Amino acid sequence: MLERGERVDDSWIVLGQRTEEEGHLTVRRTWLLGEDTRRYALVLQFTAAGSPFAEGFVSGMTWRGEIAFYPGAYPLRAVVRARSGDGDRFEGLPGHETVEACLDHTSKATALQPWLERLPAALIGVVPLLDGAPEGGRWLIRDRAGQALPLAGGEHWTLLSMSGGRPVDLAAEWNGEGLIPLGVAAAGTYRILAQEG
Amino acid sequence: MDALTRAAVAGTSRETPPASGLPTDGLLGSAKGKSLERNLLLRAGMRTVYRTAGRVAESGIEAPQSAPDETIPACSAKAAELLGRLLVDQRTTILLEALERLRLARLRRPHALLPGALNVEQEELRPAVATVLGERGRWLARLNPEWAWAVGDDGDLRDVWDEGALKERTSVLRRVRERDPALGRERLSETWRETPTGTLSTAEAISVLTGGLASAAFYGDGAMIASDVAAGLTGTIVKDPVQDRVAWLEYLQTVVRERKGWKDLYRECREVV
Repeated sequence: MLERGERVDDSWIVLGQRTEEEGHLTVRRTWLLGEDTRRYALVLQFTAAGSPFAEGFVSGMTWRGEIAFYPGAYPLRAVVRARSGDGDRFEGLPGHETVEACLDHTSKATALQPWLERLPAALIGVVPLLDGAPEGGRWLIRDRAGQALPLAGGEHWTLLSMSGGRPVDLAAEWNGEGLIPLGVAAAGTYRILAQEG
Repeated sequence: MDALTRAAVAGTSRETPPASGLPTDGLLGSAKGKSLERNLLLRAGMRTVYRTAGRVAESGIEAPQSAPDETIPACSAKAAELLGRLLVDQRTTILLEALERLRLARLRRPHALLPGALNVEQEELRPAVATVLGERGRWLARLNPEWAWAVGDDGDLRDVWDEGALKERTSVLRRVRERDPALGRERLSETWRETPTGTLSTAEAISVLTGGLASAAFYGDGAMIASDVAAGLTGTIVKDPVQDRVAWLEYLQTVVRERKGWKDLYRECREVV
């Protein structure tokens, strides 16, 4: 199958990971973003509970390498064919500059492949905010044009603290309803965001 | 409940799934040869994709007020990690000292670790934690009622200042002084006027006096003069050479100097300090 898959060589930024238990299996999703191609990719790994994953990825780092996409209407899942080391910290997230552009990407992906439950989304220059009191309030991100999208997956105090009401770069999973943060780049550092609350 | 959901809940034998009225209806093609159930499921699927793909951004959300710039740098990542571990382990005594050192070094917690610091549950730690939150911490605390203790609201501080124990009052005073030195000074001189012995315990006062008497008898004619008391008094009060010295000097200038007949004590104490 991989022989037919498209191969892409790029500097791949590791946006973040989510690890979930599914019965006896541990599933890990690692989201990548190509610096030059601006292509997103998903590396899906499985292990029997307890044993380590065959391949490690460090969030916030970038490495040069070739990945091969599984064929599909909207190729997203990929395997790493070759890579050189864990590389360096990335400089600047090549994400969407507006909420509009981000929705364009998720809409196109959904239209091509409606079965995707989660899509990656990297946004640059967005301000996270809490609209209202923590109790019953809404967590959102707002771009420079004033367009907003909801954040999902609990509370986001670390993200809020790191932004201080100023624009940050955000990597997230889009679940159709809201963005679940994976990591944030603020003041020159990238930080993995765990789910809170 | 919309018509499509109603048909799904009631069963297709009772309710015929209606056309959704969405532009996607055309995609379904002829209903011929499709069962009602299949028809309903296709419509539901199309509607879901239509909605997900057609998601639009929200507008009319006000930009939040941004936090003021920090005035002091963040502590090192290592120091922050150590502090974080102490917080988790609830090592109160060590924590108090660590926080105090951070404050004296004029450093603050890094932004990413502020929620953890604000979630500290031991109340006795809070005044010390509040001194290392920086501008960002106070900004963040304003957004969560549970963190009201860290906001630096003068109403709350005033209560603690008026009713708190010496330790709490000291920490409140530090915070007030950091933000508004003039106000801190005013509070300090105000309380000293009210309770002139507030800084010394009775035991300490007695010890200062007996020290003064002994010195008067040994070096002088037995009558205790200002120079006999000044060294003992200053030594008892100034325990922290930086903080206490400043406070003592302030007290000397605002209270002792103004007091009738205390000129000699003021002079001697200034000399010693």
